[in-house]
Amino acid sequence: MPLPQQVVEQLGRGETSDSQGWAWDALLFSGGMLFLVVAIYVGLKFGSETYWNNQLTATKNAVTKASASVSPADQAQIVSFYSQTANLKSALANHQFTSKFFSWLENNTEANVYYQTFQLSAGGKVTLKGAAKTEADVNQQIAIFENATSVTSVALSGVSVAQTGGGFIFNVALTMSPSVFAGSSL
Amino acid sequence: MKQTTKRLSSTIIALLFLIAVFVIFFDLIEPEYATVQSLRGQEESEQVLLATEQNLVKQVQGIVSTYQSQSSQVQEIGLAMPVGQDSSEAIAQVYGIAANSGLTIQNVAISAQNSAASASPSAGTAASGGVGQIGTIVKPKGSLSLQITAMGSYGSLKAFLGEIETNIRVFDVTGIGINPVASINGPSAAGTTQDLFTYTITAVTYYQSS
Repeated sequence: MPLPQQVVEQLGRGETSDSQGWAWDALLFSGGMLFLVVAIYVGLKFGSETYWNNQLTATKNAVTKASASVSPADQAQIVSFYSQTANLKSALANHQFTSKFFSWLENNTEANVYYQTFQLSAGGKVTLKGAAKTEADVNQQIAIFENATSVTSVALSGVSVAQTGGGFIFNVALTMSPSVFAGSSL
Repeated sequence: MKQTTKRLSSTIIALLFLIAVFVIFFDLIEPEYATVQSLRGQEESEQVLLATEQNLVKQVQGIVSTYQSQSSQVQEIGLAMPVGQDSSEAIAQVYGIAANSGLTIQNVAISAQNSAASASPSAGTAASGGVGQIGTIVKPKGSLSLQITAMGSYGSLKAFLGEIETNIRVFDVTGIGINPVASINGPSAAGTTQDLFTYTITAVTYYQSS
């Protein structure tokens, strides 16, 4: 039996209204999403980015200001003073006390021996021309040098009879240990 | 407008909106977010730099005030390691020491030696706080070589050496030549010796290159 016309119209109207509602909901949803992402973008672009840019600029200015708070003249003074102390430390670390060698030589010279010429050069090399009363005194003196711990090498280059006044003349080359010239005591 | 047309157009617009949402999200929001994150990172590192800088500035200001309050010690360091050759002062000091010790100076020749950077890494690292730039801030050390010819007794030589070695300006005596002034009679002859010698002394003194 066919449905009455009134019922058919009512059924058709209800289906149309539901379909349109679904489309409208989708439009609202997508419109809302669009609004949301646009709002997020605007917030990021004109809110966060501007804020962090301003913060960064302020911090960079503060760093520059802090760097400039010590004047270049003060910086130069401190650097120069630091260099002076570092260089002085280096110079004092290698400072030589040559006078100590003479004390050592006095204590290690035989009673009948004296020196006529003396030459000290770099590397602790010492050349002596000595005069001794007897040949035994020469031997004694060379033995003293050879037994001394401060002497690293002894080279006797000649012994001869003195032309005037008697006695013996000898030439000896010594290489001294660096500790002889160092700051500590012998 | 028919209901179907309305429905179709609403659906199409909704789809277009969704496409726009995706486009805005991936093409605009994501890069913008990365930019903001990058800015935040830069800001954080700048904050760390600022804190370090402020700490260093405080330390340097402390050093500057200590430096300014200890002028006498600063002056002494300046005398010991002058900035620049200051050769006239070196010669004046040698003459003064010789006069005090009884040595007669005959000649002083002076020559500059090559400058060299000071090798003091331990001092450098201690003062730099591990920055590692100390080798570059220590100015090079130069040296002057003085060839001194003098005359006097052996005692005066020892006095001269003792004074020059402990002088405020650092002098290293690197070479000495001793020769008798006149013929010397050995102890085996007359029993006397003449205590007068000529000395050739090589001394090196240092300065900081300006």
